[in-house]
Amino acid sequence: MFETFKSCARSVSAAGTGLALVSLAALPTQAFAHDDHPATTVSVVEQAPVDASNRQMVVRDAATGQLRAATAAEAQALMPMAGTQRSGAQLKTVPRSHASGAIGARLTDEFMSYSVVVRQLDGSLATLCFESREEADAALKAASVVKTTTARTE
Amino acid sequence: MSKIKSAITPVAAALTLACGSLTANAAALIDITSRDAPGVGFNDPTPVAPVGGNPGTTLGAQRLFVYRYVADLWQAQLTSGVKITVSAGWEALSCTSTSATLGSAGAWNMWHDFPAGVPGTWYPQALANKLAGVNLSADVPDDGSGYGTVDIKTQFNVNLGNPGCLDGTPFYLGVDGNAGSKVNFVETLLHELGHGLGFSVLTVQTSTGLRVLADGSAYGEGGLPSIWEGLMFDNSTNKTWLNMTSLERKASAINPLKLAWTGSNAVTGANTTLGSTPVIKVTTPVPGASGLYDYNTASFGLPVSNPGAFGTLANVAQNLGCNPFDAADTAAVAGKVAVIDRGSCTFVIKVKNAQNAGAFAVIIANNAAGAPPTLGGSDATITISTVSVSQASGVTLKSAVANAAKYGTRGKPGSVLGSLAKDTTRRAGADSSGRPLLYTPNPLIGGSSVSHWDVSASPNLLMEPIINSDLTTILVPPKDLTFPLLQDLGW
Repeated sequence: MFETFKSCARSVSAAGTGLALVSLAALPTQAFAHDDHPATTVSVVEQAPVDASNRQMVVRDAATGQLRAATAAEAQALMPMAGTQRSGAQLKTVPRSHASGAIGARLTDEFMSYSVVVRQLDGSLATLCFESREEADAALKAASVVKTTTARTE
Repeated sequence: MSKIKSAITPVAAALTLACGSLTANAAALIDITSRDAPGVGFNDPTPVAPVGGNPGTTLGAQRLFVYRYVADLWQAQLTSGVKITVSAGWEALSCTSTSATLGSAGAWNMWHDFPAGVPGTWYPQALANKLAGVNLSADVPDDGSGYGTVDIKTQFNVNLGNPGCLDGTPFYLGVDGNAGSKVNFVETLLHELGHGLGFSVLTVQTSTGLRVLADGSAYGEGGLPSIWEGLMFDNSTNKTWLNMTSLERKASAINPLKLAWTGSNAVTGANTTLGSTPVIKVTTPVPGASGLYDYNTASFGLPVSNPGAFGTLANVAQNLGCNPFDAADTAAVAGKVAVIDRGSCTFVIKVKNAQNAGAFAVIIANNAAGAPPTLGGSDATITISTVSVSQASGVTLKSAVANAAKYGTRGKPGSVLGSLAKDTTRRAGADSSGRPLLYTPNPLIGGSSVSHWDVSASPNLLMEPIINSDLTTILVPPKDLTFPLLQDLGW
């Protein structure tokens, strides 16, 4: 039921499986404005589907015609948002749009609030609300919610 | 998928239909759709006796009744021209014999830059729809789940009370509040639906301060703010979250008792909802020491009674109170309030030693900056009261005790006398300006931080991180501040 975040970091190999060609038309044109590798041609390949921050890009070298890993500058030029997206966790959201121009996203279970209950040593129940599944699970694994989350004992 | 019909009367329903499309100020309609398979959850045919105002005669029917009951409570408060959609299911969630995930809920879609919304700002879908006057997901194809476009998704633990899942303690499915030793499902669902409707900063990762990017794909610098952020004011930096960097938001999320909600509805409501702040009133001839000191309480021993007598304060000299008191400490604290620094051993050890030495009560002085900590622990043999004060207060009080004698006379040495009182100039759970505080403990507590009212609120509020047993189903002042906060967002 629950979706989970998974690392998308994978080794890149031109001969590897799961590589797919991506049309340049899908990439921002300004991304190439500062390309300091003129030998790079327009063919861009990346693993798909992957999360944006961890996508591994390869380019077809104009001189050799072979695929190779993108240089840092090429990667930056191809995906200018990569630097910012790497600063936070990737989300398995689903994009939405509306005729009014509104932009949206379908969320995931990671955005849910979780209610957890733990029977304490005196037999009473402590019910707490967490805003992440990880913390809710951590509370369940702990001996006592009161000890671990609401009150220190020393 | 099956619909769970509203409990509104047929007459009211007919009027709704006669009016055609709903208007923004019309009473909201909440549509609940079950995801449960036949024989499961809402469809569980297990016979049960009606309980606490719930007339259902099967487990499934009783679950359904509570869902509808809670949805109707929310409907009575909310207005919207767009139907609010909730997907509901009963599932096998994490359990042990002594603990369990009761359930989870939250907004399932969010939007920015829709008509009538604050530009460049994330909203939960139910609120975005109300403000826009249309269902923004109306033309969005389902994602294959069958509930991909709903406003709110919920799921609760189908196994609660069974062996291996909080053994013997199921949900209480009555609606009269008499949950006894069971888990009150009404309050739990009421709280969780509140999050789904918008009681959540939602798109800010509190551990980093980062916001969800405009395309919704990730947290990152340059993300869009949540509709919450313009109303979250940090009294330390004098900034709202809207005007902070991600690092400043990260710091603000762990700035105890400093992050206030500035929305006018909640601030006005706090004035009639929150009580006066409980304090230790200290009287002493020592210059600069008399005054009011904030305190926190303990989970063990005799609950403090406020207002009430406390007594003369006495310092403990040896080993932070972790060993049985020596003769000097015993003589110092007998019949008095022992002031003991936090550290080196558990609170209950310190307090038990003080009790054995004849202390009337104990004040634990924190050993780190920040608000007075809640004192955890358990020892049924402790019969005296214990409170905590901040580190700064502890330093002042201990110094006053140490120096008090010389401010008296030979026949009557000076002392430091404490009593429990209320500071009528400050609301419990509000800042000095009367603005209700958000929950910002340090260290960060698992996402409970920020998207709840602070636990210092008194009386207890529905949207505190701890779902207390003394809550009602009233969402407005002078009982509660849940709905005023939602009104501040645009509800």
